[in-house]
Amino acid sequence: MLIKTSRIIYLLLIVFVASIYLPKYYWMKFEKNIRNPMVYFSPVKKDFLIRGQNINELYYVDEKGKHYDRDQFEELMPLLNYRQLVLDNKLPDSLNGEPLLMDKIRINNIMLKINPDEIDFKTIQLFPMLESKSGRVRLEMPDDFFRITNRFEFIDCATNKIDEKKSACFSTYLGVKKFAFPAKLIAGNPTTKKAFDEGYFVLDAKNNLFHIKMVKGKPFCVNTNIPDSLDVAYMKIMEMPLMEFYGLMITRQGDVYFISYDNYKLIKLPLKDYDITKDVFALMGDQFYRTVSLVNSQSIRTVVTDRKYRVVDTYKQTWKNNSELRAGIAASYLFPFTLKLNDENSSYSNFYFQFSGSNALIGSIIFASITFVILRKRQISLQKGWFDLLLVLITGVFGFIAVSLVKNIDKYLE
Amino acid sequence: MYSALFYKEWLKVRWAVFGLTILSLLVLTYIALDLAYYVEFMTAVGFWGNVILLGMPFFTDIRYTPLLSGIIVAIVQFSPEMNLSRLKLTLHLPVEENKLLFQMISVGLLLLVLLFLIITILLWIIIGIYFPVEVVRFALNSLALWLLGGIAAYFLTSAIILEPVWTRRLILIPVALGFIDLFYSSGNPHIQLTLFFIITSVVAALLISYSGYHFKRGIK
Repeated sequence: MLIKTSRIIYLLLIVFVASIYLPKYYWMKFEKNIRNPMVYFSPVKKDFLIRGQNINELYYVDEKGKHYDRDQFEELMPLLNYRQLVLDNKLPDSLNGEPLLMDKIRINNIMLKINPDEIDFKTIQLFPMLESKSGRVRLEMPDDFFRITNRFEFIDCATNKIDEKKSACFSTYLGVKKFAFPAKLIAGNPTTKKAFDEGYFVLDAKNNLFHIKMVKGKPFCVNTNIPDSLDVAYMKIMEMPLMEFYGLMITRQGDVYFISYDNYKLIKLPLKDYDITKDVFALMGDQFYRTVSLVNSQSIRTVVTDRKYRVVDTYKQTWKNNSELRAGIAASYLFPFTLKLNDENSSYSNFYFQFSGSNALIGSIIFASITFVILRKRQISLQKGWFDLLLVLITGVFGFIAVSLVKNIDKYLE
Repeated sequence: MYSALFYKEWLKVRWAVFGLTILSLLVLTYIALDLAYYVEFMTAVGFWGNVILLGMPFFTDIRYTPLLSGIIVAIVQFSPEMNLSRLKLTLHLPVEENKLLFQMISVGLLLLVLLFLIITILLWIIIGIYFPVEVVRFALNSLALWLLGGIAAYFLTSAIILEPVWTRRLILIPVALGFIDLFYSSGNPHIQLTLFFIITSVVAALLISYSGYHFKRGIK
């Protein structure tokens, strides 16, 4: 009995290892680098421009299929390329009736990208609380990091001990502001490489969002009064000189909100079907428009809004990803499933199964038939070989390799 | 009976275990010195920032020590048995063969677990001097997989050595390599994955009885 179990474990181990490495090697040989296009909205033409890439060259094309060279593209996207245009002396004085001023262009140009692996990630939950009004030009790293467990605690880096005085001061103040400990989510932009500091946005135990920062050594804490019904998955805080919003908030359902400087009012972006586990969120903003693209391995969906976030235009393009190309179709017959321990859309090592669907059944049946013949040749009856057969039927080529390599020893067990 | 067997196994592996303990202590000392050096030259604040905000690795030197330990203990414990088929004698004792094999590997396992426990506790203390519990937890989470990889390597190396037929060894070796590599290529493991690796690294012990079975029966 033990020997039989050992053999089954051995078979399963081979299946496990094979289902990771065989598809991996297969794709190392056959995977095509599919470069997804970038979609821009020209404030000059009021139309989409798509930047694609063939093997080695970039090309620019509009929705009607008309091609542009790089210089033309830059002129059609004057705000994105204002520095080049200034150098070439080609920046127009005004656009859409508004004057084009360098400072205004710079401050209005925003770029923001959020990858799925950024959302599916929990950093070490310790953060530096920067002084937001130090009176200095440059921001400075504090000497301590904080955590928010059952109270607000500062830990001094040099001694690795809790600064009781400062901790008590913040804890008490947060308590007064009705902050419910512990924190569920802490989001900030802990770097000194920014123009100013807005501290942190913290979701408390009761799902209320608080804005917490340090002003002249004293705690600052405001309940933003954002509805506690939002199922927040991720927040990205980014101090921008534009001061239109603190950052954005993404729910598990794929709704995206800006947290605006206007009394923390939420601005909902007009997005549809944002899958936070697969789509890359990319935001480009300029003086006139906001362009939001959701990109995954086979499509890009773009929404353009005006500065009041009313939809101006939408664009969608799809292409075939690797699993739909010839190599992918062949793989779906060969491998009933693929297992990966690391996935580009997550920062965790975990089980990432991908099932190939009904095609794999054909492969599995072929392998099971061969196994049947092999078992007959090895003179093993179905009564004894049923597990081998079933394994091959379920796991296809992986099980077949396992069964071929590990002899059935049942006949010795009489 | 078990104590006699334990003593016999202990005689075989004691120098290896002693050497591996020294090696682990040296590596841990290196890590401790390294941490002190970083604090001195980056300042504590700068070092914290690099580790906590930028994910700078600072304890990875210990990574392959458990793997090496698992392989070496298996080699010193089982390769003498295979010389002149000495294991045959052991297996002729009036004890059930599988029980005997499992008792043998339980000795190696016990010593490895002790060694790994020492590594864990010392690393905990070293990191705990400079960092809060959050960072310690993060480090131990990564360490867990490396230690489990050491256990799996011990079992699989033993199974490879005990396997009497070279062709079957040639099958077992790549499977073992592929499997053990997974413990070392998975960064930031999800708790689910860690649990799976705990189960599989223990279950891998069964492969030894499979090899042992071949050995005892002389199955070619």
